[in-house]
Amino acid sequence: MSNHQLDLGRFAEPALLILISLAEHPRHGYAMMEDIAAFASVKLGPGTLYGAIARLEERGFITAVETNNRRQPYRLTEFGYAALNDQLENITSVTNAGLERIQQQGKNPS
Amino acid sequence: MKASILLNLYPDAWRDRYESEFRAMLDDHPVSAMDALDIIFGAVDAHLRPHAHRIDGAAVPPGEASTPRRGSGLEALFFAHLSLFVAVIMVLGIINVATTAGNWWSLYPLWAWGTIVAVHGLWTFRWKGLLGAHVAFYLGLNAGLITTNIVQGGAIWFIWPLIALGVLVASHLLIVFQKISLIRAHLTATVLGLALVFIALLAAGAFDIAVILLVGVQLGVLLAGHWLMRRQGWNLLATHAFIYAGTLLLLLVNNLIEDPGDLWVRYPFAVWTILLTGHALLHFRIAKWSGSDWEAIMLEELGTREASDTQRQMLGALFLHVSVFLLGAIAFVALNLMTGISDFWAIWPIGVWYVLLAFHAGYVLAPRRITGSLLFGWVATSAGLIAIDFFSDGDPWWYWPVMWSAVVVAIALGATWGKRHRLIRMHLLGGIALAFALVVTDLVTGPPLWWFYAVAAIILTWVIHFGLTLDFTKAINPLSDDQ
Repeated sequence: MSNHQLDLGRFAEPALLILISLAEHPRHGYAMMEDIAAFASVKLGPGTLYGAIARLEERGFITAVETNNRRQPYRLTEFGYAALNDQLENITSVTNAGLERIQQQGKNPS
Repeated sequence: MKASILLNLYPDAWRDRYESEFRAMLDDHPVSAMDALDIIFGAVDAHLRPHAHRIDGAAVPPGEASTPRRGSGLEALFFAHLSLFVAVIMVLGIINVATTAGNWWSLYPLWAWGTIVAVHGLWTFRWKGLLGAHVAFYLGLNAGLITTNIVQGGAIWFIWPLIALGVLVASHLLIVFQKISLIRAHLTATVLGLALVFIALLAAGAFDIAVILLVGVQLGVLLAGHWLMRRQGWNLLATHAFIYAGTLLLLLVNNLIEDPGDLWVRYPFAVWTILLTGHALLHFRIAKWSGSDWEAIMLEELGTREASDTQRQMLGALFLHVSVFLLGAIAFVALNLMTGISDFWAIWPIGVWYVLLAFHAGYVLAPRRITGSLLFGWVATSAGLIAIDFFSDGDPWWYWPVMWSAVVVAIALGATWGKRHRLIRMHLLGGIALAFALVVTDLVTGPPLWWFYAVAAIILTWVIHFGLTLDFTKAINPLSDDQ
């Protein structure tokens, strides 16, 4: 098991979406919500978003960017990039295993 | 309702770190009902995981989150009040439905207390100074009076408080929105009030020029007192003395005309003389309330200027409360002595007032306002109950209310003590007080002895809570910042 797992309970999925959003470039809270809605069709509520941000920041996956603006941007840390990479590889591995089994059963709709 | 109000539900540490940026996000983002619910769940989560938002050295917009929030203690007090109101009204509603369905007596506390909560809320969050609280009081009070009048039937009387108090609200609106002076607003209220009395007497078919004169002169004395203070520079004591003399003279004339055989004017004369004497003694201590300063403070409170330092105002209000309490106590004792000393009834209003004063003093003076208020109030109430028990016959009973109310005070102490793990402190202190109360209850009421099981259950809940909150798994988590 990788050391970079997102052990965040019910916040694991929002946290993963936030990491993916920040992998592109730093974003503030509202920009993250917009981006996540665009690439994942998931609408995160403000409370959920900041619950996940607090956990990710606490664990060092993301960090606040210095700014004078009230809209506080965040960016991924190197640790965050590594955790995201591990997490996505893990998901890809699980996804591939699932698809393979469906194909073995000849149930692949395509 | 603005969604940003829901931020008050979050713990202080979370707000210090994220409030500014969270508010900025809410400014950008239209908040739906589901979002509001999500924010509430987020607040619960933030309370359950207090360490999740304690980031030392994290970037914070300069000059924003590091600035202490003004009035957060007042806001916390309001939300505590609101929570207590909702909880008690729900319990009363359930009792009402379960015991006397059809007789909806629980609507009365809902109305009365609900009006007070609304006033408290608008006083705390200040809409146009005290205008919001004034309007809330007016609407809440009259909604209840109108409903009562309609339900009970009979003559329509709700119209009178609706219009009479409406005159005061209208004057307040003129001050805030038309920026008129206090004395012009007073003049407006006087003219409208007098016109109202005139119309009321005509409508009731009881027109009496003597009543019009009496009310008119009384209102005129008040207006003249205001004018003397505002335009002639009289201080508050001199103005008080003027109104005292004018009003008592008017009452004396009325007494001599209406009921010369019973000189009832001696009662208000005696009480008011004591109050005026006390005012004179305090005069030099409250000199800042005299003359134009008084006008400025009143206008500030009525919403034409920003409020000044909260703690200074609160200390001033406490000082006045203590002064009025002392004068009131003297007045109650004097009235008691004038009506006979066989029954010393004055002790009851003085006792209740003393407890309220203790709550007030604790709130203003203690470093943790709500806890301080509860602690002072609890000590004062307990002392009062012990005294009552001591002077009454029968078995002692004081320890029941003292002991059980201590559980509430202990929980409040835990809620405001320290910066982290407040839930654990609430649980720990509340549990200790609860365990003590249960042990005493069991021992006093005699066998069967069950206190051991109750205490064991409390200790078990502590162990579970400590295990969940302190998150021992973090100790072996390689991702933890604590490594």
